Amino acid sequence: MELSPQILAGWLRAFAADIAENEALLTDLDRQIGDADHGANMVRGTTAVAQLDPADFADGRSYVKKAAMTLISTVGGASGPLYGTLLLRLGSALPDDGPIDQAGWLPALRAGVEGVVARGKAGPGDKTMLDALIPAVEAFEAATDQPWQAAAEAAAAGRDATVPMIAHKGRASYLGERSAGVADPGATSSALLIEAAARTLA
Amino acid sequence: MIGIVVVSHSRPLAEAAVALAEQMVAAEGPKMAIAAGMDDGSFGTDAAAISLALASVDSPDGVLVLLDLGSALLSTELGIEFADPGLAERVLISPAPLVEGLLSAVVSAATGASLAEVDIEARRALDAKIEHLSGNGEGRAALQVARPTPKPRASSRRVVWRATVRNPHGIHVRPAAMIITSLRDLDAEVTFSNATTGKGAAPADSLSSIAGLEIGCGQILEARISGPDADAARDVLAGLAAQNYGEDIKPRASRSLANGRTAMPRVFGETPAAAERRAVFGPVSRIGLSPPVGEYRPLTPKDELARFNEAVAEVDTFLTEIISEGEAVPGILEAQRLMLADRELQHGVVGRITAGFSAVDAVDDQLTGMARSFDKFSDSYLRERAQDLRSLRRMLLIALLGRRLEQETPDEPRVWVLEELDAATAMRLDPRLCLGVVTVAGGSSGHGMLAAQARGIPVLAGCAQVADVIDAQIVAFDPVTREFWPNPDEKLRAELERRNAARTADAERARLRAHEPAITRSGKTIKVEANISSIDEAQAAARQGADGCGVLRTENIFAKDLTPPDVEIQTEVFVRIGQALDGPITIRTWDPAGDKPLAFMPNQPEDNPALGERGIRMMRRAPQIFRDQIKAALLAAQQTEVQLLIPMVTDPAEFVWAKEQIESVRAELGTDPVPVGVMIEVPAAALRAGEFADLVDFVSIGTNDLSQYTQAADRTNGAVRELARQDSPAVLELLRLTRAALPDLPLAVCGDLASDPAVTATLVGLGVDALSVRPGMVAEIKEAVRAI
Repeated sequence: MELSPQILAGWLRAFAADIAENEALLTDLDRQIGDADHGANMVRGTTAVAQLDPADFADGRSYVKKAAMTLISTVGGASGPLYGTLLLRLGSALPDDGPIDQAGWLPALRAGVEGVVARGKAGPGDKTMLDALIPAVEAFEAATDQPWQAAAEAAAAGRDATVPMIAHKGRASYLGERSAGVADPGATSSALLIEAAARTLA
Repeated sequence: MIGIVVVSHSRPLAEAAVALAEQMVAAEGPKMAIAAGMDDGSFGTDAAAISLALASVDSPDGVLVLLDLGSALLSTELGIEFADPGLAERVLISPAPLVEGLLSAVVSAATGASLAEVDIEARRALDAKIEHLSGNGEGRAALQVARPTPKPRASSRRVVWRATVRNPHGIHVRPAAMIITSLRDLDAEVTFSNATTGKGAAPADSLSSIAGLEIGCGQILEARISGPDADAARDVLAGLAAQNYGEDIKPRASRSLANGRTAMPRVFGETPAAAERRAVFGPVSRIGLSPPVGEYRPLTPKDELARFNEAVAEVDTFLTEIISEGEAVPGILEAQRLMLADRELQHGVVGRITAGFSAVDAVDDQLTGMARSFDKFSDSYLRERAQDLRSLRRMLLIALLGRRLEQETPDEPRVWVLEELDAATAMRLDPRLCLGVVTVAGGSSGHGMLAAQARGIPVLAGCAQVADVIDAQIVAFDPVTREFWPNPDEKLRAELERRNAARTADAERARLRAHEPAITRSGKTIKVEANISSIDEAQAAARQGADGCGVLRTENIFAKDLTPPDVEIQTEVFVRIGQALDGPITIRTWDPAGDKPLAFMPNQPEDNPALGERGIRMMRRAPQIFRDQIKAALLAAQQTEVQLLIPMVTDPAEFVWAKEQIESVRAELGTDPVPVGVMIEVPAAALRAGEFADLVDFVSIGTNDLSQYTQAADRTNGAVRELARQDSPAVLELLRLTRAALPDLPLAVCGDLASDPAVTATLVGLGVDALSVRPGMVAEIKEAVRAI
């Protein structure tokens, strides 16, 4: 796998398509435990990202940073700074363009997820996007073969595990125990991000 | 001096907060910047924009950020990371509430305080409010409007309840009052919102807030309930909804037909408006007109609170007395009493007194402000409630000045001069003591106005000249010509007596010849028909000698039916009205509009109902309702003479569609065709009248809407009443154009213009063949025709 603006654009455009396809689901989840804007916010942000032309960027790092800034300036809700931080940190930790393998990706993924932890001040089990992202990075690191596939499966399992959880962060936390029973919208969109990576970066 | 950045999801919110804060500092305040909302106008926060805002107000003294909620914090933290590292070290994010914190921060910063000092001031911004609401303050104890302090709620339940509102006026003051009273004793926290428009939420103890949700007929009322009694509160609400919040909106037409008499609203009685048409001459008594607040001597805030408390109790007793006299429409005064106890009102006044206002200034400021906010409602019914608030303001001020509320009523016959005529005053008008009423402000559609006229009292509304008259000054006015004389002499008095004598004689003569046809001196017969809204009116019009019905306002007859009236009932009503009049009836097809909605077919909320989906425009969306009405009209035509009139036609294509529907219903029934006419009430239709030549059998000009649309003026709005005159040159010109384009068709004029004897000659001169007038005016208009 060669790291380049084009390959990264393939990932984030696949993510944008998945978000668009799942907008109604994300909105519905957020309507039940939040303020019903996650679907629309993410569609607005990822659509703007998909419109970036990778040919305009010198390397993968600068493309990812631009994508991060685009999300920050277009999403509007808390997902903007959170996804923005994820990609900003991830981009900063990427190696130069060229061949990249599991060992090359791992520091970038870790940096991104650590950024989300620092920004949102949430941890595992708080019913947030981290419940998909942290298992994904752990599975990516542990995999001996097909790390992206392993990460995607872990992210999906992490998303499903948020269903019985009680939210402690964000709008859903106002609901307390009543937030249980619904998957976290942020974890759901995060799982889409990792699944898109498994299709386009593996 | 430090800089300040405001971060909010909403740009208007941030701008308003900054504008509010800027008022707090005289000359030089801190530099402020806003990072709020998304570029496309939607709600949200943008870290990049925050970073730019920080840089724009940066100074060596640092920058304080005040923000609203949710992602504002995350975006700000990220925005600080984007900023220059030197700047980032000088930025502090304040945990203070946005509005209060910003005001404190701006005031403190303007004194040159350091970043840390400003931060502390901002954090303290809520202290005053918390203290005030904590229940320990003296002010609260004195006031006795104490709300139960929130209890810990172990078994707290949260419930959401929704219901579609069926009341024709929606949740206005009276239903809102019913809701508040019913929930008052329950241990439940309830907030209401308008689920249709998203307006809200309003607390369940504020009358003005609930009414302010402007929940119209057909819209959804949503309640969010929590607390131990949540389930009980929901059941109470469900019960209220089932009874339409205490308003009787049950269908009436069918029930009244069953027992042979009608319970339809009786708008015009048997006696024409003779008494209220009298010119008036007499001494003035200024009623409740700007109480002399200059006399008031304020004491300490504690005493002022006690005085306010006493005044509230006094006004409450006064209102209760009027209600117990039983004469009034109690709902309105009950609503006034509730408004008196309204949390927004009470807290607003108490807050002002606590801040150092005198009780008089606090009442004046708070109630005037609340009345203004009611003035802004789009619903005319709610707008009129501003009158109730101004009435409360007057009563409270009178009580605060130590004057007896009763003293307001003169004990000898006087011309009453008021700011505006509210319902409470109008209901106490004694025709023996009140020669007439002149108001400084107010349109002609208020409750007070109608109540006074119903008592036969002449009223002149919106007469600015009267503001300067003094008590006992002799004045005169003529409610018909709308003339006012501040210093009339004996000559004028004689003239007015002649006018009154002539009016009485005219009415008498008219009554004697009512049943003869109206023929001009040159020999042209003019049909004088009546505008009819009920069987009662049809009978009254028949007594007046009406040559039939020029407009049957079907939407008024069945306005309160919750389901479309079936064909049989409609047929029976049409036949009875035809038989009562013993003449042809012109059935106008359903003409629902924002101000005359059909309960079974509510108008969608529109920004501009007068220009929205009404009349035939709405029928195209509900053709079956239209066809059922046509069917009833065609069946009635087998027993009484019927013609059909299509309202709100703009384009000939709309009329073609209506004719197609009529013809297809007629073909199904196999009945004879009836004449079908077009109502010209849209200037576009008047200008294209010629295109209707081959389509229509007759034409009727609806001057009420034609004037509104031609003059761009609402006749119920006192401020533009003169512009809304129906005899404006432009309206008469459209009438002339219509006649010229359709020289051979029967031409009628309906609408208020036809009921004005002063323009009868003009209308006949323009070639009108028929005039459809208010039932009480038939005989007089016939006389006016005979004088031509």
